[in-house]
Amino acid sequence: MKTETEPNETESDWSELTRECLINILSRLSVEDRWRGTMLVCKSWFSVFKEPSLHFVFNLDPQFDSPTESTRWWTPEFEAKIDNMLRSVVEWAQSSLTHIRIRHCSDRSLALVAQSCPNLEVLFIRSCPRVTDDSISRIALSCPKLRELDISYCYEITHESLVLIGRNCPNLKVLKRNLMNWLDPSQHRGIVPDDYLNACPQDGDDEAAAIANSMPGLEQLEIRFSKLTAKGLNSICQGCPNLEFLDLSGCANLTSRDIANASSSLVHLKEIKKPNFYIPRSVFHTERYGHWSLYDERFQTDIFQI
Amino acid sequence: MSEIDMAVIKPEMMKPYIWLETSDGSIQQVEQEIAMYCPLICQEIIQKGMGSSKSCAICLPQRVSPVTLSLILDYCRFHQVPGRSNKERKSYDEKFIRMDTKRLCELTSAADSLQLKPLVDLTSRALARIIEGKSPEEIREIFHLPDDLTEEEKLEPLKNTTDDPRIRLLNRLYAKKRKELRERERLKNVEVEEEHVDERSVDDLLSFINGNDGDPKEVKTSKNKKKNRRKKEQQQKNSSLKEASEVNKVEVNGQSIRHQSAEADRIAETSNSHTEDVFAHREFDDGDIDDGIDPALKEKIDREVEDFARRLNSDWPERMQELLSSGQERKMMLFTPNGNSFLRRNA
Repeated sequence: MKTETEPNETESDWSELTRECLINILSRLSVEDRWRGTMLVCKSWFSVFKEPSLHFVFNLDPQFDSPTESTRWWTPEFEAKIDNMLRSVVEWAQSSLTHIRIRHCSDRSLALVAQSCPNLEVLFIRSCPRVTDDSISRIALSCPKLRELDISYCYEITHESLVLIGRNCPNLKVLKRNLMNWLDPSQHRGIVPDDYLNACPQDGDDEAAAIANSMPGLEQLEIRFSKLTAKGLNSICQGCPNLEFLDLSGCANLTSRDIANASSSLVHLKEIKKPNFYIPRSVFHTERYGHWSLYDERFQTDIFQI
Repeated sequence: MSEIDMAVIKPEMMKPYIWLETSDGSIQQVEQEIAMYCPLICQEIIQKGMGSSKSCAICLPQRVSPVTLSLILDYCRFHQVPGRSNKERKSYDEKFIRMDTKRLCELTSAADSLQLKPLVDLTSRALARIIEGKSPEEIREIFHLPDDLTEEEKLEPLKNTTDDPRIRLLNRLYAKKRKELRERERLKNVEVEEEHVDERSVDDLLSFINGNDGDPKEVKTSKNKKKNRRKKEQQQKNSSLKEASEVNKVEVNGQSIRHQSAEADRIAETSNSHTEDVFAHREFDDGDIDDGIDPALKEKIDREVEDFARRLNSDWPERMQELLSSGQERKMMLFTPNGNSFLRRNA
């Protein structure tokens, strides 16, 4: 390589990365790094932070993935914070938002999601005590591209919303509608408000019927600790013939025979999680008996399955 | 340098050369095959026929300095050779980006302006790794950036856009109370300091320090006294905090709304674990907004605040009802701190 003139380096403001470069860099950072670090650096970085292409996905799930749940997450203040974050992201995304994975939001922010995110494909809103049929019905009507929906531990959402979602979102493949462990709620006590724990939906069969009648394309279904009976399970297995994965953990009203009979019609089924639990020993303080360990293994077999 | 590299550069192979002009006006002659690895240069050669002579050298974008150009050409020279394994390329890339942040930024911008996507991705990844896990202050330091965001701007994504504007007035009321409390506490501390005036002589103090004339028990009791004093001070602090939080409790329509003092907020913040506080931002306290305002205006605001506080109990329920009923047929549940207001569905 031949050089005509001696290179003399000009003093440029090297910190001024082009907008495109900065977008490229920020797109490689986690949501937490963006919100905690880069967003608060300076005006120019903040304006880049609002770039719609950085907000296709809003995923706060890793923030909640700790072994212990926090009491603070169930407070109105925390909910307001999550709501405001989601509202901001929806505003910046300018209808390009496709994935939302959050918890502890409310109708207030979801109404805006319904209004502004027609391309939404994935909506995970676990543990949202103040998300009601009102916002879910709006989502159903405004987000027809929805493929995956997680409304676990959202007790103010009823089977009516499920019907609307099924009818208006033909691409829906994954539904997660798990309830909290009402058989042994000790893991939630002191964290989740007692009144909310006790408000666990009882209409398992109604929900099952709603799923069966309106979601024929469903491939994955999680309904842990649902109170559905054999009747509800039968309707699901008939109405959703494409099911590949079915999670029935903790469904106390189902027997092994019920599950075997109902699931026999599911030709695509690859994995089924059966209730496979026994009444927790903490309930009866059975640890004092030395012979309990003998039962442990046997209770895990099909013979002793409830 | 490997034999393959040598083969690429050997002049006797009569490789065609092209001329490139960098941002400072210097002109360089570069092997065409290598230069054409950059899409922008490739376009200039194919579409416009530029670069064939010194007089019609390809003008490179402003951000491409001679130093960055030589780095980019090194990168192209290595990567345009066919038959290299992915492992070799990865190893080269890792060594290639071992440079200071300034140069890395310049290289990113230059590669971007030459549309050399693989290099842009490589340098962007490296810069992202530098930024990862850093606080805004640290990032500012690394990149020499100004701290020109206001507190309001920093909190913009977290602020409640549907707040009743009168809540700002309420916050001022709280802030005023907090100030009064702080003043009271300061006065109390001054009084306590005045009480503890040491009247012992210098000799007494020296003998006490050296441990003369005193049996070990005495020293021990003095330690205990210190401990007790510390305990008392701690208790005083706690009680003052408690008092602060009590003062900041406001009855609204029969329900107590607690507004923590700034000190209590700080303590609570530090005790919260990392996972609990999703992207913790400093709370913006508009309590001291009034500082430095014209006294007459300040008095007017204070009157307004007090008037608002008086009207709060009578006016708030209707206002809340109005807010809640608008646009929602279904009854909204207010999630009170004691958690007794959830609607039970099929209980």
